[in-house]
Amino acid sequence: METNNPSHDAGDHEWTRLVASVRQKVGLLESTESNTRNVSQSVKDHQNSESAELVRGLIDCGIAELDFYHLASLHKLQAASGSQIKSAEAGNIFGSFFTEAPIAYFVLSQQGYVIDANLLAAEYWGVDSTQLKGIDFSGMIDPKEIQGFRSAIECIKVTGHRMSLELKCKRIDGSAFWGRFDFISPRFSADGKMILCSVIDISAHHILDDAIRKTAVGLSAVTGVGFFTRLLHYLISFRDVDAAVITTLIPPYNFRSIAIVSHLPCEEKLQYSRKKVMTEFIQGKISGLHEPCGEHLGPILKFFKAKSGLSLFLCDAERQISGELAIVTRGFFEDSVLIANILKIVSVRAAAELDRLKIEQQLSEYRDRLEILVKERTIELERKTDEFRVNNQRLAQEIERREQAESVLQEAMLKAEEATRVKSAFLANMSHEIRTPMNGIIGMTSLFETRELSEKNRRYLEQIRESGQSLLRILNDILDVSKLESEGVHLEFIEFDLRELLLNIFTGHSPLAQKKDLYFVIDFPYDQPSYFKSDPVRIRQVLENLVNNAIKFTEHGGIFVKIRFASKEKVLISEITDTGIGLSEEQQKSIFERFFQADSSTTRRFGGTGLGLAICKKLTHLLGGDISFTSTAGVGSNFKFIIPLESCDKPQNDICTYRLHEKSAIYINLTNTQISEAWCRLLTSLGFLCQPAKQYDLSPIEASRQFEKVILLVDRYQEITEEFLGLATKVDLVLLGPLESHPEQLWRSVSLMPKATLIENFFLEKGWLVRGNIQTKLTVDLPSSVTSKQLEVLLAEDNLVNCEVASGMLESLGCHVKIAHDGREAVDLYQKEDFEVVFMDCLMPNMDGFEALKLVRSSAKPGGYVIALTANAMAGDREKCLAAGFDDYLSKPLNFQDLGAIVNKVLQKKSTYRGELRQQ
Amino acid sequence: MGDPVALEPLIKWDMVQSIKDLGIRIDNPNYCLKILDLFETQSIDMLSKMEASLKENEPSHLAQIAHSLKGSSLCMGANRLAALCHRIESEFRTDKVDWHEISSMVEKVKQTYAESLRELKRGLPSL
Repeated sequence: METNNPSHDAGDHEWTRLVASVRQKVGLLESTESNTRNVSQSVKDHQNSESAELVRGLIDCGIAELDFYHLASLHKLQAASGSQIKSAEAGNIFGSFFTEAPIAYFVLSQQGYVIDANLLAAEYWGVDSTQLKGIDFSGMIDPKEIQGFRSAIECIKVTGHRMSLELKCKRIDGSAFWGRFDFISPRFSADGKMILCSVIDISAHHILDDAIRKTAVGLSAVTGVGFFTRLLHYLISFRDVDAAVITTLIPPYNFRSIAIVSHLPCEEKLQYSRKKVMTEFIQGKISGLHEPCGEHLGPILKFFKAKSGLSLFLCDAERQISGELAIVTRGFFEDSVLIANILKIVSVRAAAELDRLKIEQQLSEYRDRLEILVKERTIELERKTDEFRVNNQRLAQEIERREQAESVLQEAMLKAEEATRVKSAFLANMSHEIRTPMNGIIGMTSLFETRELSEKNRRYLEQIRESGQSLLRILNDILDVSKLESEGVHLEFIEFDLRELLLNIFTGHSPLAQKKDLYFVIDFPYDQPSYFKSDPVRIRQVLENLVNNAIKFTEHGGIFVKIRFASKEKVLISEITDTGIGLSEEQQKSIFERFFQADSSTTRRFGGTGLGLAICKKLTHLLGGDISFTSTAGVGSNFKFIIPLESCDKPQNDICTYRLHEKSAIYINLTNTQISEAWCRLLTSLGFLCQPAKQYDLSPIEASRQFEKVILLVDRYQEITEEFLGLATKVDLVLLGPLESHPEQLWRSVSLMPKATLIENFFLEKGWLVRGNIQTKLTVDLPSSVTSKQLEVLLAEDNLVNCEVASGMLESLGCHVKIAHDGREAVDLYQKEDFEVVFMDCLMPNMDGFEALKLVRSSAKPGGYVIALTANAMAGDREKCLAAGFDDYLSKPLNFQDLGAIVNKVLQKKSTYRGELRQQ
Repeated sequence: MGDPVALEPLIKWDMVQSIKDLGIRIDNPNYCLKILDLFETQSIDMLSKMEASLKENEPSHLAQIAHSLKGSSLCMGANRLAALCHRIESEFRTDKVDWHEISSMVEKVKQTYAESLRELKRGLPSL
């Protein structure tokens, strides 16, 4: 008895020792190859010891899962095999153990026949234990298992090893169950003819395994809702399970069925809410079992009208509840542990699947949303595209419209240009048309002027002329502005004499200045260069405009024109100063604008177009220069323009050269010192001894002795200083003032000079100055023989003036001249009389020179010396005439020297000829 | 524009001087004045003839008169007038005769003639 219980009196000490010894042996055994055999040996070694000890050792060694009950059957086997166990009492106990052990035992023969079986074994197979004895075990298992069973028995027979097997067993009623079989060949069966076998019903394990397998393998093929349905079908395949449902959580508290499989009548959809989730159930715990316990199963049970149920929360990867898996039954779960375990196993997959489902849902939601988004975007895109297209169309329309507008504009511009051109042409034509008759009027009045007229008629005529001229000026202004504005003005650079240009301007404007009793002085000394290369017409225009304005707007005082050439900078500086009305500061701002006049009253008072200064500015710019001014209202204005230009050499026939007639001294005493100085400079540059009267170096008396002529120039009504009064008989007095005043008689000679006078012209008139250089004085080297009228000359010339002059010249050269007025007359005369030389104008009425020459040459006296006269002065004239048969050629105007040379030549020929005649 | 005519001196005094000198040489102090008078009468006649032929579109006649006037003008030193006449004359040598141009030039001739004569009369005594 004491051996049955380790904690018995036999003592811990004794038990420990035994165990240790067994362990030692087993450790030894484990190191050997045939441990089984050794174990058998070890068992044999302990044959004499008590079997309990042996069993204990075996157990302790962990050999198989022999437990206490197996040991009992072992004893029974020992007893049955006629071993040394003799104790009846022990045998009884063990026998009873064997018989009533909670594990099914069989004792089989080597051939696989049942020798013995215990009660539980009989129960497993659903038979009486006695019925089992002697039957072939193969019949008790599934026929498919027989092969495995047999080979296991064979194996044991040969090796003596323990064998474990799982075999599908066949009950007497045909039902099956799974059993785990452990076969051993007990050591007490010395010949090994017996096999001990224990059987454990492992159907539940199989079911769980199946559940795992199914969840892992069988159902894995399916996913999604399909999986859930399969799963639920699987769950309700169990006994007791009448319905199963899987729900998903719709946060926060609502659960909604995904799949329901039910043997019970129920609605299609289940929906319930949990106000609170019992957290202890979240950790994979099963809740409920039946009604009273599963308080929160209420809604589910109610739905299925079931009595008991089990439910499990499904959690996602984050351990958050995602759904619930529940099974219910009408009654009670017989094996609730098993079913709970199954539930637990499948829940894992179900949760994952739910997770997946949710993710898929999310995904599909995302996809849907994405699709919606894409759709929205697409719509928007389409809308945008539409908009774009519309915009494009609009743009295209706009472009088209613009193009149209542009073409219209272009057309309009062309039209405008054409109109401008037409306008310009019209303007040019019109002004031409107007100018021609205007010129006619002015020209004709000019012709009248040369005739004797009454004072009244002359005045009328003058007015006509002036009006005509101002009208012409306006026309010219307008024409100029339009030309300047259309850039139609081209400069023409030529050489010109600035002095002559100034002279012309002066001549044109001095009458008005004289009439207004204004002084008009041009300060341009003769030591200044006066030949330049530029556009004289433009320069003249600017100067004229400024001078014209100055005279127009000046009532008292006068106009002072100062011209200087800065040879270093090569610029001409012209200043026109007047003492006129001037310009206010306001007016000064816009005087160079077109149509500017100080105000409208100015127009009324002074006339004009207001274009003059605009033209001046444009022209100076065109000439590369600039124009500026200073002005004070009521005091006067000063216009200054500077233009770059080149000076050039004086030509031979300079008409503006003067020389002194006599050695003269001039004393100038004017209140206007500016004029005094200007004239002083000018006269000095002409060779006069000229001094301001009060600052002279040479006293007038002294001068009267040294100089042939002494001139005193003073203002009219000015008192003459004594030193001059004393010289009154020796001094020529010039009074500067209006013409109508009467000079004193005291003086040797008194003359009045208007204030607007070109002083050199006045001096010229007085004979104090003579034109031309001394070098170019007329000198003709006349042939000495030409003293008597030896030469008979025929002059054929239709122009009376030319005739007169030519004949005069020829006569002075000692010729006897006869005149013919046309070619025919000349030929007649030539044939009638004898002429030693014929001067023949080429172009004559009735018969021209060439024709006449032909007749002369074809006459009885063809050898006459005939000289052609032409006024064409063109290159090639000479050659043409000589080729026609003229002996010589002279171009008009006839020149004394040339004529003399010809006469000389003829005379020489004549003398030679005479000599020849004499010789003959 | 840039008219060479305008640049010709109105009176080329050398010529006048030479006529005056000629008068002194042939012992006729009024010689120059006489010539001038002749010039005046003849020119006025010519100008009116010019006017007439202008009206009657007689180019050859007009050209001839212009040529003739050119000759006497040159002789009198009225160079600008001569240049104008020369221009009229050459106008007729071109293929296309611009009557507008010519009529305007004829007017100019008159004007210039008047100016020249005035200047001659003014200047002659001081020579």
